[in-house]
Amino acid sequence: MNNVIKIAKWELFRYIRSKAFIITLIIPFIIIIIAGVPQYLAINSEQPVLNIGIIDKNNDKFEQIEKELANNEQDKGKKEFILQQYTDINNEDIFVKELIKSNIEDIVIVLESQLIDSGKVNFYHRNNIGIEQISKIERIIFNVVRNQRIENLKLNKNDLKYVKQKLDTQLYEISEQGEMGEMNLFIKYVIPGIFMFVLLLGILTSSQLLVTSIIEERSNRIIEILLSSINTKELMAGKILGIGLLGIIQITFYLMIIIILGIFGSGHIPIELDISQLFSIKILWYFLFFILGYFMYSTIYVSLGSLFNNERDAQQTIGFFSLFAIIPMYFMSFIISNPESIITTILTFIPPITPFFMIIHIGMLSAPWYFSLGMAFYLIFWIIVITLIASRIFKMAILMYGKRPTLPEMFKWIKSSK
Amino acid sequence: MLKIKNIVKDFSNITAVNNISFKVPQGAVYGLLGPNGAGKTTIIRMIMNIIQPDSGEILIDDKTSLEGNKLNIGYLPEERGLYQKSKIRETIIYFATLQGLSHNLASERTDYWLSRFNLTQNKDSKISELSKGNQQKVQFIITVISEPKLMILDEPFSGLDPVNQKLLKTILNEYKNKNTTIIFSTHQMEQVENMCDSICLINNGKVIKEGNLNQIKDEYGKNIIEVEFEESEKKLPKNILIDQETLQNTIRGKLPNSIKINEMIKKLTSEYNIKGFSYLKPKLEQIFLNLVEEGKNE
Repeated sequence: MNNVIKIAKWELFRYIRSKAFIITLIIPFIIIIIAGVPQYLAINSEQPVLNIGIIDKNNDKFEQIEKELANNEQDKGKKEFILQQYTDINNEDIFVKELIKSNIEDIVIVLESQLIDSGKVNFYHRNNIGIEQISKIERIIFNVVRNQRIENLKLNKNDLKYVKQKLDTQLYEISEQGEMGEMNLFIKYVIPGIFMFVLLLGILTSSQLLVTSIIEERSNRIIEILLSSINTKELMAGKILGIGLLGIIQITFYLMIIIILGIFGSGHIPIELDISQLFSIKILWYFLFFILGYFMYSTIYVSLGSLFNNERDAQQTIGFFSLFAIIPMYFMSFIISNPESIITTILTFIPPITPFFMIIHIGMLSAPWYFSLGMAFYLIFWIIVITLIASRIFKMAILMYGKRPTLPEMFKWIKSSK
Repeated sequence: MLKIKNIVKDFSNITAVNNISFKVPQGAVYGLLGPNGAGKTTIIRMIMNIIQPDSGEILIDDKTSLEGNKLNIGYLPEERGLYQKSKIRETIIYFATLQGLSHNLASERTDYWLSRFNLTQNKDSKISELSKGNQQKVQFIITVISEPKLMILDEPFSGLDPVNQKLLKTILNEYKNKNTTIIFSTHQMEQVENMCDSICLINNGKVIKEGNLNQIKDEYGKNIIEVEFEESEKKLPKNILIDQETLQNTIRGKLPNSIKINEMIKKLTSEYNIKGFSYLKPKLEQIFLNLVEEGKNE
């Protein structure tokens, strides 16, 4: 056991200092930046105020549109459009073209006389106007049309307010035991999402780190020096423990960031992080399945590393096994919509997928504790089986140079009790 | 100290080691020799308990080793390599602690050996930043740091310059004086001749010669004669010397079975002007080549 800890410590420090790990650690931040910056720019960037010409054929909607726009701009705190009304137009097509061609207006909107009933509006715009700008002004006109339609139904202002009143939604969950609790988006969706994402990221990183490390030890014959002091089981266990610790450090790092953001970032970030929810029993379940998943994949990759003499040869096989870790991402919406379907059940019981699906079951579908516990034991059973198979392959393949073992050879090793 | 008894190891359809036995006494310097593919590495791996023999027994201090009960053996593999991106001092300490040394003792000994090999200034450098020869020194430090009772050195001198070869020999002699058993696996016969007490020559997984080095040389060298003449002689009659080689005033050859050495000397002194006469021990390299060749012909 002492040697296992020494190896785990050595491997952990080697991995932590590696560029691959540092890059993996910052990948989520890069993704957030890549996704968030355009969104931020879209919301906060200074956009030019557009000139909009309105040809109101009935000559009765312009004022209402102006009012609706003024209310909208007051809410947003910035001016987006300047409206100009045009009446008594003879040759509409030529007039519209001229307004845009001579840069008098950016958009010209023609409100047909039967606007309220037909809803027909024509938008003419310069070809460099974005669809988002058009949609904004379209929404304002729609609000005016909708209000007029309600008014036509002879509803008074109070009625109108009543009709437009939004839903005040509160979600409550009731467990099978009849316990009721308020649904928390953060612990139910955000945290399991983070665990799943980090598990996937960790599996992809650890596969590279483990395989690279074993191939280096094989090709440099370090393995022989190591095996002159320790045995293959200690070596394998040390490596798996080392990479497992790395995974725990990784997820803890992200949770710490969330806690820090929750405490100090309130009001500065777009999501509300209720960090008190982090200290719930669900977190322990997420951690358990995260660790089990990490260990299972590490065991597979340790034995895979022993089969190859160089990284290039190893890549394809690593890629194949990494596919199992990606599958749950594709099925996530399906399992949430169909938690009790036969496909969900089958997928949940496929060992390499189980850790991911259990995080979904626990988080998003509030799986009962006895189901989670049973699945934890199920996964532990499979980890033991995989470890036994992997250790036999590792023991034999690690000292095999020049040729790659064949499948019949591997089956022979697995069957062998030596 | 080390007893190998009838060990056999098969890989698929190949018998890598076929019923090999030999003994290495405590404190001996022993040469394990053989051409490529002879089975030396397999034997070494079995001694180190990395793999187990299919049959036979390996005893170290009269005890068998089971996996999980590793013995204190220092091993220097032929193909050198270490964790290229790791720091030198950290790497040595890591291997030393795996060999059972406490962290403090490992640090203390690491500093001593780095100083002895003039590597102190590089202690925090990455392995990849060292020259090949210096990397080999680091690997040698890892081999000796736990002061093992048995050392297995596979081509220990290859890649080292003469200065460092001399330093390595000095250190090995120190260990020999401390009664450490050293097994050399090498092709450099000159080194074996200089350092080994006994040898085991292996070919095709079998022992073809084993024993005390001087006795083997005597066995194969009793008939080799070198005669130096006052003047150049082209050849001697075949009833005096066979398999002759001439080099300026010297003729070297084998004494035929039909004549005794006293008779030969009498004949030479009466019929030729002799300047010198030597009874030669053969070079180990020649014995090695002859035995391997004989093995091929069998």
